[in-house]
Amino acid sequence: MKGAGIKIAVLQFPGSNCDQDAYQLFSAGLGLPTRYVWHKDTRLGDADLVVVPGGFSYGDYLRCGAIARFSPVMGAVRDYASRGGVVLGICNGFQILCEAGLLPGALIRNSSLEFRCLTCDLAVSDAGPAFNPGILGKRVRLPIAHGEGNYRIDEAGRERLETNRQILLRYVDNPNGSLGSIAGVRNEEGNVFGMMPHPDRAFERFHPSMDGIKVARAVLSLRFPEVSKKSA
Amino acid sequence: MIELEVEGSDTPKFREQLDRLCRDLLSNPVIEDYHYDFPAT
Repeated sequence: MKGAGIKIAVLQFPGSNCDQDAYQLFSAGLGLPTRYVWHKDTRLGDADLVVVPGGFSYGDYLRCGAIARFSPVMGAVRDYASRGGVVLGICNGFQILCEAGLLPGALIRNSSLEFRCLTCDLAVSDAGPAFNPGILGKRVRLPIAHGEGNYRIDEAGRERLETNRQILLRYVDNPNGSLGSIAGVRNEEGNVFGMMPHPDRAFERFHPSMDGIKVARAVLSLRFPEVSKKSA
Repeated sequence: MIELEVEGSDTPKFREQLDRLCRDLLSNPVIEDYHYDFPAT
């Protein structure tokens, strides 16, 4: 995909620890120009996709993502998303986007009360033109590593998710108690994506799968449809 | 559960500040509730 002209920005918060994974997914995995944006920056610069990576931002104090949502960069992310910019939150990034109100719902402690670290089979939902079984296949296999991945939303919110086709992925074997086995959602407008599984840990030959490439391409295909036609 | 004591008078402005603090930071209304009391002096 070199020369595709797609530019990626990866946010860094104190406590982010998957920022380099996300960077590698897009730079090494997809060959795209990728750069970091520090959480104190108030501008994102020129970016076609903003990635909010996983980790333990601000030590996960109070609630996961509750402090990071107040970082200066999040004002820029909010503006970017409101103008239709594409945002992908992975794991802690998903939690941050939910806390920031950019995605519906919330993530609470796993029902097992244990940190779960394993590779999961995920059923792909029909969530619109960029993210659906036609592009990704019926299932993808991605790693998870979290203690707070138990997705919650009220009944009216869940109905909205179903009606608007906002659910991206569901666990085949629910590892954390998530309502409806939900592993990832998008916003109603369709430009903000969040998921607990890690596409950024599934793109090298030594990883448990390489489906992260497909997921990254699906997200990028929202603005660059030609991306989804390339083979993984 | 988080329990905090803060100093202030029972005024509309103070209640507004408390609501903002509780709603936007201390709790996540999707999964949590909050309430506050003004003890009788």
